[in-house]
Amino acid sequence: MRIFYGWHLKKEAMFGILLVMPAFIILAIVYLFPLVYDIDLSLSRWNLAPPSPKEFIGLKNYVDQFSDETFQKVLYNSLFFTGVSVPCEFFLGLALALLLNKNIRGKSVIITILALPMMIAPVIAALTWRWIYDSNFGILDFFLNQFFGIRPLWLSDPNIAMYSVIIADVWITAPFMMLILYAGLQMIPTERYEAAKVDGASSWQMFRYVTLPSLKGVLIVALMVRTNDALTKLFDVVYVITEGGPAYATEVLPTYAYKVGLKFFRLGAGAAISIITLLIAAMMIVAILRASRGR
Amino acid sequence: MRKMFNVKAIAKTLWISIVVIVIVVAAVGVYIYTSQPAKPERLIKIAWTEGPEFDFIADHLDEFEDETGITVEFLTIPRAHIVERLMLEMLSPTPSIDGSIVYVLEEPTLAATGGLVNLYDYKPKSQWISEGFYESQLNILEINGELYYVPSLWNGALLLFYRTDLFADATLKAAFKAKYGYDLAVPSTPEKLLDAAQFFSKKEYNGKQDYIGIHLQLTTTEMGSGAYTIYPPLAAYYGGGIYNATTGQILCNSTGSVEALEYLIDLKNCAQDSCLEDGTFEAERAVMAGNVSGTELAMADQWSYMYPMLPDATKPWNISMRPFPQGPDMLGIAILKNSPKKDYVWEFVRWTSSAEIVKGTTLATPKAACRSDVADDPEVSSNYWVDKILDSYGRVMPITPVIKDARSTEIYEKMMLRLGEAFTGSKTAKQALDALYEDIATIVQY
Repeated sequence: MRIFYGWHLKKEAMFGILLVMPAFIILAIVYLFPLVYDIDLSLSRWNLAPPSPKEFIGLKNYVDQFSDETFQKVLYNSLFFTGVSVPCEFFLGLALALLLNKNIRGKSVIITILALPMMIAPVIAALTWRWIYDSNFGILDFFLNQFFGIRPLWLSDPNIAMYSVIIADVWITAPFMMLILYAGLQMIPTERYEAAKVDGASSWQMFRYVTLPSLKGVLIVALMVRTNDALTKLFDVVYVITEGGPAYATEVLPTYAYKVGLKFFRLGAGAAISIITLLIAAMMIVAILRASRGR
Repeated sequence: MRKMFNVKAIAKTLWISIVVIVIVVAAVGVYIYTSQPAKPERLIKIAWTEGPEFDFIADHLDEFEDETGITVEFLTIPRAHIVERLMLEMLSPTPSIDGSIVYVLEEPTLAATGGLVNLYDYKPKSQWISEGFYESQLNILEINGELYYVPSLWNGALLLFYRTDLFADATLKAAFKAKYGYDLAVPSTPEKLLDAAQFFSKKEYNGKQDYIGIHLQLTTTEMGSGAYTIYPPLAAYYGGGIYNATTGQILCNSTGSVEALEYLIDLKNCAQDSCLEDGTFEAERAVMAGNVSGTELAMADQWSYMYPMLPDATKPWNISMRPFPQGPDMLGIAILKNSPKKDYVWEFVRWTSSAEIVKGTTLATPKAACRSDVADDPEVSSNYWVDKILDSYGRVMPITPVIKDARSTEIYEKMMLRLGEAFTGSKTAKQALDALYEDIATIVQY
């Protein structure tokens, strides 16, 4: 089949295109169109309270956001959250995966139990953590008060609240890391470890020179997915536990975009925040990919 | 490979399969939709929430349906999220709801869309007043001369709850007189309230027994409770304010506003440690148990609906007039302009604002009646709480109106943020309110 002058499409390629066409059409409708519309909104001024007609204003929404003190605080919160929670999930998930990679009796049961947090709806898990953190009724402060005489304000102290959210999120998402890394560990041929043993490698050397390089591909994927989720999908945990408070101490980009767009009804500004979130996530993923290729 | 697979035939089969599947799914969908039982024509859907008043109306709904032949379906939505849902419904030419509860804080934002019906089109103001509705309450709700709902459901007042045993204790009275030079009595002014709170709080007493001076709700994340209910009326009391939508004057960093916030910070220092976190459930528990995490509680700034719980409390409490003004806590039913069943919703509004139903909702949980004929009804007026509520809610202490601006939701949100910064110490009161000034100046440009 001749498509353009000098460019013939092979029948096999045509067959492949036809096979993916239905999925591509659906993707274009549910993904591309909203993305393009969102970009268009972000370049416009369109408020609903009071109602105003949609007008093109170029990059003004972006300039306004970056010069807004509240947005700067929210951006810092998001980056801080990502910078702390993703490594915590990674190291905890890796530690659990390495432990599970041993021959342990009842391993399948242990894996199922450890994976349970991932299977609970995030809203339910967040609500549970909110009750755990409650300073009057929460079990955490009850035991801390009993044994140490302290009663931290997990949800209303701005110096602590973000860590409260991070702990809850790590509890929910570390099993995902654990499962991905465990699967990766299972794929490493045992001959490599045997060869390393023969060469007199210590456990740490085997981990550093056999396990980590073999896990590299899986690690990159896991880090990319979690970094993206931490930046762009962190909504329900924050919204349920602290609603972004106290005093915006735990407000992150997704919750702020929701607030600006659907509570203040400044659709253009809300869209700009969501596009900024997307761009930051894309930059971080590119950085992870480049760092992985650098070695 | 080419002989094994006939590419054209496979592609053709694939496309035919997809088309057949789409047609079958569409046909099933149409069948399911058309086979649904026909809904009654005189059916209205009202966005609703939960509580004793709503239960009362739901329990008597059959009376309305018998009287008018209109069926009512309630769609329960958390009150805190009514705005997000309602806004989109009002913008839709075919809304899925016909009416909704609306709260006073969010009314200006919703009204600015032009999506709510002016109830004066159905009944002029003079007629509402002649029926017994308080003109002062209607004035609070009016926006640009239009009324979108009457406070037939919520009209609660904040009262001062105080421990009768502590205020009657001879030792405490003597210690208070020695320190402050006047007799310990139930506070009737903000200054006396602060004195009493500081006296009872663990920082001021002689250390033999700890007390929490006052239970406050200063949450800065939930509109309609917490910092909103306390600070703006205090600012008005001290001669300041937040923002005058009529004149465009930003008052938040005036001398009176700063003084009010400094007062509130001092009062907060006498409150429970978790005052920035506590919700109404925690407040109820604190009053019922008479303590917060084991520390005795002397006073509480709480809602009138809690009064019926007091006989079951483990400590003796009583209520008094709130020693400073408060904002309106008004909630009622509004009609969506795009609804094709506006007249039916109006019938429902008329019925829920009738004397009989308002009496029922007023008695369901103690609140200020929105009609004088209900307030004067012996069954209502004989209640101990009536005078305390009326004194707190307009008769003695004025009701501080909300900001009647389309951007009020965002202005209050920024206020919560800056108050939170002041309460947590990251900014002084002056710094926080100066920052709020800049925030409001930016918002009103949108």
